[in-house]
Amino acid sequence: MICLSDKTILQELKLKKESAIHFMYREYFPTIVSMVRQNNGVYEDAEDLFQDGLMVLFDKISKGPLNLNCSLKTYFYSICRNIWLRRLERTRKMVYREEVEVNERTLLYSMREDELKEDYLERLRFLHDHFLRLPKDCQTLLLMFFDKVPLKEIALKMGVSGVKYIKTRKYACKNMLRKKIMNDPACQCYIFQNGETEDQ
Amino acid sequence: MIPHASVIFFKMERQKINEWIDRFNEGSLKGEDLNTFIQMLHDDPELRKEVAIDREINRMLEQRELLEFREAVLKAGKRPSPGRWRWLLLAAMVVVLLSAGGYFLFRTLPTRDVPAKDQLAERPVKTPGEGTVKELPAKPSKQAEKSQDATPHRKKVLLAEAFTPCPSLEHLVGETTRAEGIILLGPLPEITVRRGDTVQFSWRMSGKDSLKILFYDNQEQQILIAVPDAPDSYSFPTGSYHRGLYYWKFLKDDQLVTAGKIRCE
Repeated sequence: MICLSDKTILQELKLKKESAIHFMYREYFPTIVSMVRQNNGVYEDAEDLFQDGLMVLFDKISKGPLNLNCSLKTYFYSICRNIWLRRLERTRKMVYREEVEVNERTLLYSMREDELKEDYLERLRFLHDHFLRLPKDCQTLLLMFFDKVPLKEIALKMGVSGVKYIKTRKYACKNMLRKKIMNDPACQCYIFQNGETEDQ
Repeated sequence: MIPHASVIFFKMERQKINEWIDRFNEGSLKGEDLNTFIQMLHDDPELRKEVAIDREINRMLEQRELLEFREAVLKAGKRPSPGRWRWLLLAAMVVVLLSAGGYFLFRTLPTRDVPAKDQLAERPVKTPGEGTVKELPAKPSKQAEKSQDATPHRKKVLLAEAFTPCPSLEHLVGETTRAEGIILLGPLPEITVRRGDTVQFSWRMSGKDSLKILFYDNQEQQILIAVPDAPDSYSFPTGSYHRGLYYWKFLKDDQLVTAGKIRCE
């Protein structure tokens, strides 16, 4: 069984290495499950929360070095707890049950303005899930468009001759994704939470 | 004059609308096309939704790094996709059908039997050498005693029954206590294995406290006490036990550290 130091985990997370994520699942996930279960959540909530916590952590380390004054596990727990608190506040499921230990941990982490917001994390998870279920060629095509790869190059990579086809295919892929999202019953909840979408 | 949106919709190819949605959010839709599209948006709430979703998609795609990271997270965690409930429902239906099938098969085969607990106790328990294992004498639970009183015949364990969760142990699954100086690295609180597989327990511990892993079947009957010799691992061989649901408690100095369950199929 491989054990990774906090520094190694952060370095590997930044490189999106699955080994670090896997390690965090094994090492940190049970604590998150326990916290969620004690606070009116179920296992699936903990799964989502854990992913959201990872996204926040990744976003932070992508923007600059992270200076920790506690263990990564404690820091990560604080991130997740913070998200969970906000989620509970938003959904008004219950009033959070205060715990001395949890309060101590909260001091280690506070949300910043430029950070991924709790409701946006949920929306992002929803959109990512749908996008990653698109046919692989659609995923590649849309990403290439957003990377502003020249149309001729995209056509070459996709193995087609005409750029017109590439444009048509792009619109079709986008349409497919939009329809999948619109037909998902959770769409109303994630995309149109307040009647309209919000800007981050 | 701009015609009513619904009229335009019927006349316009879907492909054109897709293009306009895309170009509108890109900011490249201009002139008469833009005016027509704005009129359509004004009249059609569904189109407005589509445009809003498209804007969200664009925003998501701009954050490419996050998308790639999510992909890695999903691969590492094997999280089910948005349609997970459909799949879980399907899986649950398959389990119910198999259980029902197993039950009826059992009923139709009068001599078919699963080794009873007392028979199991006679079997030698294979350990890979890193742990001392004590096989307990059969200590029937109240439930088992009751059923024994009622039926003097040989006890039959139905396959479906062997997978029925035990409420008193179920609530402990995944719970972790504040035991200090030890971290259990594996297994996860809930795992499924094939009969014959070995379940690997591993932990990190500071100090030399005594460890014990207690194993129970789904009738809350203790089937095994493992006292690991190795400082950081223990292998639980499932081959000596019949298919079913098992629970374990991981103890340090007789204090519960965490608990979990093993579904042995």
